[in-house]
Amino acid sequence: MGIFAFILFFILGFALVNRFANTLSIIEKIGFSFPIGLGLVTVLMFLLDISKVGITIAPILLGVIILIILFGYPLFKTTRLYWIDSFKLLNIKYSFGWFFLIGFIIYLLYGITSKGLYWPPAEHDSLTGYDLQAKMIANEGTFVTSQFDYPYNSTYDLARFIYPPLSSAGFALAYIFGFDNSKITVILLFYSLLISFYGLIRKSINDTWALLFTFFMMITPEMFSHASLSLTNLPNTVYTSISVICLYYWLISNDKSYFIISLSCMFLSNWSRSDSIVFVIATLAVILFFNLKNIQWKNIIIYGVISIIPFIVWGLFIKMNIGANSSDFFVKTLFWDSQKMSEILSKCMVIVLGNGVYYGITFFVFVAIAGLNVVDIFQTRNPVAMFIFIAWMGYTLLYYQIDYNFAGSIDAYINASYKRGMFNFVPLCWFFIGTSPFSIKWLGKADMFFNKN
Amino acid sequence: MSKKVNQKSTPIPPKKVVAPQIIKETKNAFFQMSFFKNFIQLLVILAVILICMKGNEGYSWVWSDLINENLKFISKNKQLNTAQKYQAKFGVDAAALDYIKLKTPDTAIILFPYYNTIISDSSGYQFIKGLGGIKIRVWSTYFLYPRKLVYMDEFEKNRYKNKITHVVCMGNWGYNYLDYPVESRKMFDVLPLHSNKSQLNLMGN
Repeated sequence: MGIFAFILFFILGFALVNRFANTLSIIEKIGFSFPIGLGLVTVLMFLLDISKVGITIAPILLGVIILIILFGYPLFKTTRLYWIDSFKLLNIKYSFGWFFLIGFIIYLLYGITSKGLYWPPAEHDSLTGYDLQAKMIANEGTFVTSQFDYPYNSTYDLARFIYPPLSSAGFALAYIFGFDNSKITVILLFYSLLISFYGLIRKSINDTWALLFTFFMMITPEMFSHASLSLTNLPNTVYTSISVICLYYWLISNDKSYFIISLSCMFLSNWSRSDSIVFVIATLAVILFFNLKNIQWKNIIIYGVISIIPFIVWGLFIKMNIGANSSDFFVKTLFWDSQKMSEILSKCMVIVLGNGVYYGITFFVFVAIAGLNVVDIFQTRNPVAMFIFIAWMGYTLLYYQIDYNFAGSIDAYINASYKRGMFNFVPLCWFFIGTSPFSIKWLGKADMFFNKN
Repeated sequence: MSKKVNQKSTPIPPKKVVAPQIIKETKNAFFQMSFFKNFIQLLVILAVILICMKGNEGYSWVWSDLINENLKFISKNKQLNTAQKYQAKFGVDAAALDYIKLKTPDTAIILFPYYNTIISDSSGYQFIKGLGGIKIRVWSTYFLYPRKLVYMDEFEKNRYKNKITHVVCMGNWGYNYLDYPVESRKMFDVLPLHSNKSQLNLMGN
């Protein structure tokens, strides 16, 4: 039942991607399908809840099947030849290296999947938040669970229960459809991230190099370990990074398909964590600066309005139903405290560049490649590099704005929350590393050497 | 006829992007490169990966601990059930909660001792003193849901305080709330509040 339901979510995502972003390659479509399908089902759960129908198996399945019929109609007309042609069009350039990398990636995925499915959720934040909320949603059929019947002193006590619902609803779906372990949701999202990343980066570089960068993105230690945990950061990363890379391809190719996927994923990124609002602001700045001579106001307005809907809707929902407000964590006025700023910056830099334990070589290589491409970044206004810089500054400032008297110590926040939030930048850094002009030039030379007989 | 259908359903080729493209030569051979150059490229890739794996503590941890150690543990301990896995992670806290779960119905409303009673030595067990553990109501709720929990520290504010059905007894704590004598007291137990199982106000006792 569980596997059947998750396959249906994938088909729903595929139907939507195929309908509204048909120009994409089959790898991209497969990569985007589960995140978008799952995301839409969590939105459906929210609608079932507010309409008082209740979050149960029957209306979810009915809704998914109706949506598949509505959007998947062109799929029913496809033939076997469609799928063969779709894969032929990929024109994958195989090599020994490609097969070695595929084998290594599969082994590592087998390892992390086994770990994830063997151990039940045990992370503190999950037991005292996301996964407990998921169990309650599955059992009680509503987002306003009995957890809110318990006494609490402040919003801080409820923090993990009032996060935007994509992750806990995604975990709840696993329980609703009979899985013992909700981590299946994160594992499938992680697979989707890898497939999407490979499908996207291979548009700019050779398949073997594309797979090598996918491999390095995948084994980023702290992020890779989260593929076997039931927390919110990795799901959030999947949506944010797909969104930003698609934004890049939309800006440079003007292909509407990428705009649609980017917007959908940014919407769902905000449906998974409220701090994604920083990424919306960064994205809008990137669209604005990318072409100053011909600013795309219409697209900026569409993108901005649609992607902040989850932030506003969920904020209103928890305010009206629970009386909580996630903005309680922040100082609501602008202020300047040089000591706090320097403390936060220094601690953040230690996490990001202090050693390679958490992120491997990711940020070191990114800084080096960004340095080698600094002129190009400014001249071409590289969207991914611009996003990384603007979003990182915004994201770090968010931690400056937190009221630590209310919410706990700076150390605890930087060492846990900030560290995990940096996952959002990992796929983007590797994408930039692989597709920067410097990399393209040298990988091209390597290809010339290897392909010359 | 079938050709027509096939033509209709042929996917639209992905649009070319403006990004700098590496020239991809199309050859009929399965591999684009000669065997020797394929081999050289593989060696280069292997060398890059090995240098990173060996030279970076994070990647070494992924390879040895996260993947291989876990796979070894899993293959040796396939028979463990969920409760045993939690006990492997959280020790006596998970065992205590599993015991409570087995001895109470899903509808139970359970009274727990004070935070300090739980972590003190008088409880008779070394419960987790750091993050999480049975001393934290929301943490215990995860293991006992859908049972409702009432911790003494928040007793007055808890809406279930008048509907308690069971009491967690630790050391000497808890037995005095029961309306019946317990002859053989254990260091840790969970017992019905009333011998006749009627719903009475705890504060009236």
